[in-house]
Amino acid sequence: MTPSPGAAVTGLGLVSAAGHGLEATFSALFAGPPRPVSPRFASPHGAAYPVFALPLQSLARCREAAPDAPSPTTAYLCAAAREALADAGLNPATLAGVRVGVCVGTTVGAALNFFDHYAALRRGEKPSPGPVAAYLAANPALYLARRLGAAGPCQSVVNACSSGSDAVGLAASWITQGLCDVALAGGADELSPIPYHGFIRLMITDPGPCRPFDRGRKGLNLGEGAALLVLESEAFRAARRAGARGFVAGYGAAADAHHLTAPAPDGRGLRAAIGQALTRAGTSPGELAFVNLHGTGTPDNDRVEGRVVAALLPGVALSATKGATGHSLGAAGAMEAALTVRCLEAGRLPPSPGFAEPDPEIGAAPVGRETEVRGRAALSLSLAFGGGNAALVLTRGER
Amino acid sequence: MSRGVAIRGLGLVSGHGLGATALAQGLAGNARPGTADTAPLSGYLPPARLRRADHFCRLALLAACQALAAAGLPPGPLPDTGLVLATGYGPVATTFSYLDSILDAGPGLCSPTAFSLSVHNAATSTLSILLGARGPALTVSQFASSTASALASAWTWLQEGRCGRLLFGAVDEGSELLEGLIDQAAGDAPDRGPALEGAACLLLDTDESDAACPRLTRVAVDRPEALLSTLPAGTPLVLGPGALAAEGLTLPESSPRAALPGLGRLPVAAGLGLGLAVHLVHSGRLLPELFTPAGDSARRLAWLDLAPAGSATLALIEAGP
Repeated sequence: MTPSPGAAVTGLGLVSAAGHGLEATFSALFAGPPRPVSPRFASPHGAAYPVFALPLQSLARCREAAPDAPSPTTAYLCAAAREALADAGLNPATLAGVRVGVCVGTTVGAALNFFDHYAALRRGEKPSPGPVAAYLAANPALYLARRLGAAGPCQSVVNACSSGSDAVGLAASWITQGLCDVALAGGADELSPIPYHGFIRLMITDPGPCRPFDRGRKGLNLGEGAALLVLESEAFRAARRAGARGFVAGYGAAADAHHLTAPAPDGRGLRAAIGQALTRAGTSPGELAFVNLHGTGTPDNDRVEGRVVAALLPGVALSATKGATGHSLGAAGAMEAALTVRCLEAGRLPPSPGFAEPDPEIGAAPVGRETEVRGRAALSLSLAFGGGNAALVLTRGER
Repeated sequence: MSRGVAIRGLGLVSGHGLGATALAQGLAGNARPGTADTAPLSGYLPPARLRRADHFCRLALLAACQALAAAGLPPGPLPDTGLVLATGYGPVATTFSYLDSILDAGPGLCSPTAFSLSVHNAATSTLSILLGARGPALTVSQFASSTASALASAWTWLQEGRCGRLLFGAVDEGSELLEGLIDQAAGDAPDRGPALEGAACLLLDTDESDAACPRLTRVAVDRPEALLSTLPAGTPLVLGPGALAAEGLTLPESSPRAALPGLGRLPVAAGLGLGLAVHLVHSGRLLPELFTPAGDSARRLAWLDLAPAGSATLALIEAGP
């Protein structure tokens, strides 16, 4: 197979609990990430099961980016889009007449999330239909495409926890297949009591700060935010002489076909996804500078992921960032793709927050301190509820 | 140069019955649809394996099993098969059931099983597990434009050779509660038609060796006028719900078109319409009661739908030579 040249990454935007903006988040990873906090909504668990919530100042900046946004998810998305487009040197005026695609991974952002409205109905009340109207207006990809007047393909990917990675990979395929010239690709999700309670009941949430890949890990902490990558075809980029921060050089996806909520113990889907991504990128394991792990901190996920990586990619540096951002579900893969490009540019990895003691059952561990890395390529991994697996090979650009 | 995509099998289940003929007859007769019957699923998969599958997942499974059977394939294992599924609302009944469990038992004792089946990719995951499909899997959810959007990605994956074959489908279940809420939110909007639940599934591959089956020869996304300008004259059109609702859309006068309002208000209407279009090409005959002006031959047919942001998806379906 001839390796694809890949879709160029010309702009990045990221909003997370660790920082408002890519640089703020990236700096926080090195300088000292935030601690998770109690959720904004009522919880019967007190201070247990904390989350990585956007600080109030960041929430206000997101609302300022999109005052008419019908949901927190769409506001986060607009803030990330604004940053990513500015970084790429693009705006709605320069995109007029261009085939622009929008591909956004999400979970809560596309779900029936009007819980309070439903509760009021059950109590026999007649609540205002506003929350239902907001749900109908808040589909992330549709909202952003309308806002930008984008006339290319538009997709809200709901592949659970791999949605953000899949959205980036799909949009890169749209670019290389000629379906559009520019794509905004990534993910967005807000904290919501609906999955929060569900994850606790599945007993995969840590009652304290999460510890990805640590021997004593007990589960994930939920997070929220958004990340977007501006992807461009080589022809479009060349015509406007835009520099690339990186490239989506390879994307692989495969299903475990095993269980709704647990990864296949042999990691078969993840192995297949990694193999496809490397092959399509024409990259060998030895060329990888590092791997950004999914690293949720759940016992099963980290064990399976770590064993697969140890077997397929021995000696490659590993990074786990959810101890700084939380697990932002549909946004997670996109956040980590953006951070992967930034770490390639910087040639260094942050410490992996929450990780302290390697787990001998895994046989692989993320870096525990700031680490220099060399090489032009890195891999970012995502595993999902339902057995989906996604792998992205990202390479460094010249900008 | 795009590779043609062979349509090996079609599965359709709806509130009008099992199969494309039942759907076409229901539409032609203006029949009132009911709940789609998924009992025939037990003819494909052992009931014990279906015990956790809710109605939403069963709809998708039944359409997929039908599509496989039409191609002479058993319901798994399918190691090199990808899945792309479109759903406008996801598993509505199970989601409300999960919300009920939070309200009834309290958040500390809500149902983890209902939660795990309430995610939007529940049907895709269930298909993957029960059919042993280990290729790439994608679920798309964006109301009525889900099918058009998902079709573009399915086409892309097949062009890239990401899997040997691919099950492409659409599914939505009826919910009086949700539809009532949407009607209330919509205010004085015009009648949105019947709530026709169901699922459609196409088994696709890029194998060129068997020329007898219908083919997807083109899937494209662009402004509608750009797509329609490239359509061969006289090509019959099946319009998806977005195209049906679009104001100011100018269609070629020489093309018979089927608007199919009887496919109703649920987002799966787009998938059911696409499945019906494939059926018509496979049978080689347009149903005169569905097209204006009435045509006869259906050796080539186009399916067109519009997304709210203004882009359109066009699929050209052609009979084998």
